[in-house]
Amino acid sequence: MLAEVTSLFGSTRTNILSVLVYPDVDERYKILVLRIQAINPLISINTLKENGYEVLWPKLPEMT
Amino acid sequence: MTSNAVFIYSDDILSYKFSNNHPFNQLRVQLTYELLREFGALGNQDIVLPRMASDEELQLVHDTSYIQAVKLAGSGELSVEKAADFGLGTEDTPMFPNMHEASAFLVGGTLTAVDYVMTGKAKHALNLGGGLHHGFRGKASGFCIYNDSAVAIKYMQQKYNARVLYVDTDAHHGDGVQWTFYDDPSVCTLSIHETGRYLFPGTGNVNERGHSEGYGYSFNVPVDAYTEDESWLDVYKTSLKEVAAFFKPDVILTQNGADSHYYDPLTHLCGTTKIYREIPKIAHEIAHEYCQGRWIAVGGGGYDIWRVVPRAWSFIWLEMIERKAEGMLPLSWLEKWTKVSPHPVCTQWDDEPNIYQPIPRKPEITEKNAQTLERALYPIRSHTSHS
Repeated sequence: MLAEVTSLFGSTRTNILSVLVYPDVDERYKILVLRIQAINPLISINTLKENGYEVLWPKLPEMT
Repeated sequence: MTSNAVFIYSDDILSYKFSNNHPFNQLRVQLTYELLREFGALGNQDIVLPRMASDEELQLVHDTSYIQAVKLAGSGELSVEKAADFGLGTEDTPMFPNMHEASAFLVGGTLTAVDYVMTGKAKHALNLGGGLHHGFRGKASGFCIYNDSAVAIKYMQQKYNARVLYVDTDAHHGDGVQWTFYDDPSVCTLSIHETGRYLFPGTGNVNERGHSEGYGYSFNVPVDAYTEDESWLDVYKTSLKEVAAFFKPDVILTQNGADSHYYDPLTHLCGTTKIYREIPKIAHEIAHEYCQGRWIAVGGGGYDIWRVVPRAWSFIWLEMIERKAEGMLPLSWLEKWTKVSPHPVCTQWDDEPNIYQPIPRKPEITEKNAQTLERALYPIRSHTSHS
């Protein structure tokens, strides 16, 4: 659910500027494109992953 | 006596610290300082201690209510709700003890650098603790609380009546400085950054050229993600030379974010040490051509603090004192920090060739950047060709 994903950003007080929804090749899934207001995206990437979402881009670099 | 260059430094700048695992880590300034010391390029006579900026100086740019909020935040007395109004207490810019003092100290360092250069005590001055270009009049943003560069420019205007060229090569747009002087024709800002399409803060479009009387005095060259050395340097050299020839500054202030490197974890550019050798070199040339050498350099972003920042920032100082560095980094520095670094550090001054896989879209990116550069410089070029 979209609300579940966006609430993850709310929990880290990260502002979402826009959301686009695209279909995935697998009909059970959607691809979300979120524009968030943060210089450090690593926290959001980790939060999404920890909650079972796949992050297509940006990929986490090998080191932080 | 005029020295060629001074290096503003004190261990106290490490007090600007959000948390242990926050990507903005001023340990990188200490790493650079020690690298230069171990290399024998930095002596006691080169070091100048920073001072703390006064509230009056901060108010040259910042709202009184904002400064008050930062003070309260630093003593744990600002509520989360109120903090949000000032951009504080976010994941990017959390509140931390004594944050007002730590932030005012970074601003004071840049003001110290300014005074050395503008009074003729030194030709060049370097404050790597500064460069916090996302700070706004009344809001913290992108790891930045007070905007030392904006305060320093106002200070130079008022105290020295100087025309300032601000050059920002951080991978993120220099928004705080740009908006502070957006309607001011006596300050020219040039920012070269990764396009805001996929990167913070999202501004810095080529059509942001200034407002009112300041129209034509803001320049932005947003380059594509995955831009490599050659295209980046073409954009940098061409834009800086043409903008400097157009504006004819009294002094240049360069912001030297070191986050356009391929290794940087927060951006998507593919620079290497090649650009970090060239950035200060061209700035140095411009300073002597137009400003009788007056050049103040500050730090900025840079989030691969082990592999990238110490070398990139050392090149600024080495350029200021006209000292060459090639081959291996000093063994003593490597031995000390290899033990501490969570990852292998680079052992040479220059990157190895091919640190990344070839970028498939290279020709398109190069072409796009050339077009963006052309658009950014169009007002100067059309003016010059008609006069």
